[in-house]
Parts: sequence; structure tokens; C-alpha cells
Amino acid sequence: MGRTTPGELALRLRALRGTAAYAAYLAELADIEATLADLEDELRAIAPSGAVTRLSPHSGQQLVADLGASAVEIVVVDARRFSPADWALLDRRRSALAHRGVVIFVTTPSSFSELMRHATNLASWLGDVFAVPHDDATVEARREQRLTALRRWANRSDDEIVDAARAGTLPADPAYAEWLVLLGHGELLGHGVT
Amino acid sequence: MSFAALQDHALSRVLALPPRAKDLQRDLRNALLQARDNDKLATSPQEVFQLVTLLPELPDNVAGQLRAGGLHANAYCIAGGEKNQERDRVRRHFKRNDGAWFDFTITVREHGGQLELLAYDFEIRFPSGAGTPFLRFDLNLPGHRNQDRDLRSHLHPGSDDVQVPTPLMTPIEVLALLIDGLRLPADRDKPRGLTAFEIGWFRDTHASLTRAEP
Repeated sequence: MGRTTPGELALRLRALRGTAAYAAYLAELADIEATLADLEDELRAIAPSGAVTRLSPHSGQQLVADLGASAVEIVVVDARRFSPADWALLDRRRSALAHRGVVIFVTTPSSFSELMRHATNLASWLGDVFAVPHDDATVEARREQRLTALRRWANRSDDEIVDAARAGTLPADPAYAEWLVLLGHGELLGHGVT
Repeated sequence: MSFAALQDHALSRVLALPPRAKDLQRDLRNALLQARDNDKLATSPQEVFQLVTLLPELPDNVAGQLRAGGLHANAYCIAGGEKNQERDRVRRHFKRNDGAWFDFTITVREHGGQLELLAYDFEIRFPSGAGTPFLRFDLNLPGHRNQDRDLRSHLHPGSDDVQVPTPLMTPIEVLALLIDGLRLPADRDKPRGLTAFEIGWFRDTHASLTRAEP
């Protein structure tokens, strides 16, 4: 199972348009609402209007009914509430989940474990299974990489930049705005345009 | 003569911006993906995703000791490509189908459900013979000394020392200019010929640079 951002997953799903495909995307319970919203936003940004919908069924039975009634091409299923009994029902009724388009189950790792245990046939339908990445380390590495480039370019230290901003003597370039933000000093940026 | 009235006019333009930094990141990324679909961009979709990054301001618990007043400002940088003031082609960037290549950085702040544009720089470098080595569109920090000189929004036309006042643009507009504009006109298959002045200028510049080398 790989890790990928909602945007990258949306790009993969876009490539699957025109086929019948099933995928799963896993996020921790605390992150799942934001993940659903991000994935939906990403899909809506790259798919035609009306081609994306989210279903939030309270049971497996409801998903069967809702999916059967939906002709939307890309269906994001909020599956975090599914119990082992729900997955078992979906496995038995899997022919009713046949959909002309892409169906992606967004759920928690523990609920996905239940899927794998109680819905082995449905699990075999899943072409892609991804999880939300832990991107803190990546963001920190990129931040440091850019700060290093800025220090090399200006031949100045972080403290000198903060002191100059506080003194109102910070040089002209937009690069200094980036520098302040990367250091966590957005409060020194002033007000721009809206 | 002051260009204050010109700059006031440029900066008073009301920009249509998305409400959140991540929405702007997505819009920029999708504009680049669309350019790839239309064969205007040679950069792969996967690379587009890797290159357009959102870097939030350091969280309070990390930067708190350094920050005046302890106020978190909800500022973000949206980076397109690696930082590249040296114009080193080795650093990761976006490639156009005609050999031009570019990167950008945008600084914004989320405030009251709106996005505030604070600064940006977009730089495109051209293949040799294209008329100018690079163009850079800068929006400087507000209240900066360049704003006093009427040049908060300006263009560097192939020289870091020369600044030309430019209209205030949204990041999406500047990106569109870099992707679709700044190319040979559709009815021309090669650049216009140089005049004797330009040829002499390039020769003299080359000669002075050669003399200056150790």
C-alpha cells in the first residue's frame, strides 16, 4: 500500500475515467473529514461539472441503495462508519455495487482491516489502495532546502532578516517575504492586496 | 517625475482570489496540468504535483519563541519549483514545449475567509536567440521602499537591475502569461531579425564580459 496526497490520487482516478474501477483511500479518523473534503475538491477541480459526488451511507444496505440510484461518474464513499457486518453485507451484495465509473472508499485503517477480513471478494475488486501521507518530514525538508538557498543567495542569517524586518529595513525582493514565512514570522509582512 | 498615480492605479485593482492558500495551490497546479494536456508544458503531471508545494508558516509551538507578540499570521508560501536565484538549470523547474523554463514563489495570508496576496516572483528563462534571457514579474512586500519608488509591482526585462512598472495580476494570470504568452506570435515561425544596433550591443556585451573574466 502506497501513500499519496488527495491531489495525486485525484489525478490517478482521472486517468481511470471511462472504466469501472474501485479504490480505497485510508486516513486516520481525526483526518478523515478533511481528507474527504480535499479529495472531493481535487476531483471537482479536474473532472467535469456534475461528475463527482460524495455518499455518506450509515450502513452497507444504504450504500447499496444510494449507489444503485446514482449515475454520477466518480463516487466518493465515506465508509468510516462501516462495521464488520456492513462489509460482510457489501461482500454478499457486491453485484449491486457494480457501477459505470470510479468508486473510491474513504475509510480508516481499522475499518479497512475489517473490509479485508469480512469482504474478501469485494477486496479483490480494489485496484488501488492508498493512504494519506505523513508529510510533516517532507514539508520540513522542503522548508530547510529553501531557507538554505535563501541564506546562500543573500549571504545573511535568519536572525539578520528578522531584525531587519522589525527595523523596517528589509530589502526589496519578494524572496524576503518567503524567508519570513518559512521562519514563522508572517506577522512581519504587513498587508497586501485582496 | 513620480509614477505614484500609475502605481496607485495598478495596486487598486481588485483581484479575484480563492479563499484559501490550498485552493490557490490547486488552481495553479491544475492550470499547469491543463497546459500539459494541451502540449504547452513538457513537465510530466507527476512532476507538476511534486513541484507545486504549499509551505505553511511554522506552527506556534516551533517558532513561538522567536515571534514578536506570539501572533500566528496564517501566512503561506506556494512554491513552484526549487528556489533558483542562480538560474541553474539543474534545479527543478517547469519546462515549456519551446524550451523556455520557469519557477515561481507566492506569499499569501489567510484572513477572515479571504486570501491576501503579499508578494510573488515568477521568472521565466528563454532559449538563446529568443530576444531576452529572462523575464521576472515581482510583487514586492507592501509598504516597502520600492512602493515608495512606485514599483511594488514590476517586471525585470532580462536584467536584475532594470525594473518596469507592471499591472497587479493574480498568480493565475501571471502563470497563464508564462504558459500561453511570451511566445512567438502564432503567425511567425522564427524571431524577427536583429538590427545592427542589437547585434553590436550583444557583441560589445560579450566582449566586456570576456574581458571581465579572470
